[in-house]
Amino acid sequence: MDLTELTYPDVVSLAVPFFVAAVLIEMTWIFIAKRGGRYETRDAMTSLAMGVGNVASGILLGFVTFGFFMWLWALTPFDLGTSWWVVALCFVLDDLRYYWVHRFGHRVRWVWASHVNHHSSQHYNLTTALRQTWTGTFTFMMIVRAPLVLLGFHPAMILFVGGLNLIYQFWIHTEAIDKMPRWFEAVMNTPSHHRVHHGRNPRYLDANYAGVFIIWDKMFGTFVPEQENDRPDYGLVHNIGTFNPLRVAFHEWIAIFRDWFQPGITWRDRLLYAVMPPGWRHDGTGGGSERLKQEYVAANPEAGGTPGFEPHRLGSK
Amino acid sequence: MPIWLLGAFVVVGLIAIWVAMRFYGYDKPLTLDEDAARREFMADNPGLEPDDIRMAKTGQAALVRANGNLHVLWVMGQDVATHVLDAPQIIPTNSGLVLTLRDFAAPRVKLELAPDEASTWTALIEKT
Repeated sequence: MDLTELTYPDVVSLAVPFFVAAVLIEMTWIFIAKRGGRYETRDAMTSLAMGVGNVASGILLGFVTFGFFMWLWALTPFDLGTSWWVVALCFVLDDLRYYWVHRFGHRVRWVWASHVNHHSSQHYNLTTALRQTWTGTFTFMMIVRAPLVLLGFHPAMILFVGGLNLIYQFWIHTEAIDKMPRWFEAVMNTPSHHRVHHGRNPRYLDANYAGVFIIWDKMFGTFVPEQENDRPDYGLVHNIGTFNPLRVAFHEWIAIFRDWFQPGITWRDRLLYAVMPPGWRHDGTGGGSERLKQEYVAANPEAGGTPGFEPHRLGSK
Repeated sequence: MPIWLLGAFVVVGLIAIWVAMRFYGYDKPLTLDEDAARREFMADNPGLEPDDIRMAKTGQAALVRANGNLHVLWVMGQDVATHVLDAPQIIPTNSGLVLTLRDFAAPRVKLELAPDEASTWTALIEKT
């Protein structure tokens, strides 16, 4: 089958009117009900500016990713076609890909430099979903999608299901929905599960990386359920003090370059500043999520062993 | 979708959302008392406990001494940011002070202070 001309709708662009309407509905609901979340004008406008910049960077740099995929497509002998079940399988496997890219995004500083902006809001509402990266291309995480192309899924199909994945994740960025039905919470990523992911509470660090299916976190040991007695406090462990989209987009990249160019460190240190988890310091003075969890449990021993503070999350055996 | 139509949706959407937020009063800044400043500081600096807090009369900023270092805390919308002070440049303004920090994300912090506060804060910050 000749799939060189295969096209799918640009679902993210088509969803823009829905995004705008949903944001207006959510903020109106919060205003009327006096519950279900918070909005702040400059924070929300920064998030929206990041969303616009993400679309612009996709237009400007999308050819890099698509070109890479088409190069792989020319290499692979496999072609799974365009049946509905192939699209469905592609969606599920691409969500597994998303889980790992997202996990790298929190555990590898080079990838975190791109993803950090999504967590830089101290609010959690539908505009937070649109606070997307401008620099994703430079993380080279498109490589993680290479196996899908090599297995015979057409690049256009992969980008199509990736767009659906992004749209799914929009609605879970809300405090207006408490819990979904139990069967849904068991299988799917939900507002409750994703609030945990955005929490900077020590309990919630490095948890719930899922895009659509929460089962990946349960399979790979990163699932933490939202606790009634520990409501998520949103934002970064140490928040950045800016609403400027340019500074939001590039601050961690600049921080990496500053760490690289500091005097008196080895080339190994420079490499580790890019590949170790955020917070790592060559002199041992830094502290990642494990250390924050350890310090919390040391100060609150009763929390030890509860969700988010199990021994394997504290860096102990 | 043609790019001009996408652009039109984006522009109209941004304007509509901004107008709605202004109408709903979502641009009112947070005002802190000392207890709130303490909580916010500890949330933003895990493991650090304030030894001393000096609030601005506006409730929009504070100087926080913790573990031997001086930090500035300032209101950003309905939330706060904090930064350790390491010999920042201090620029007096008509409404208070501007501090320049060695931080790409937050290179300048504008503090609204009463005239007597500005001189006291300057003296405290210059000791860092």
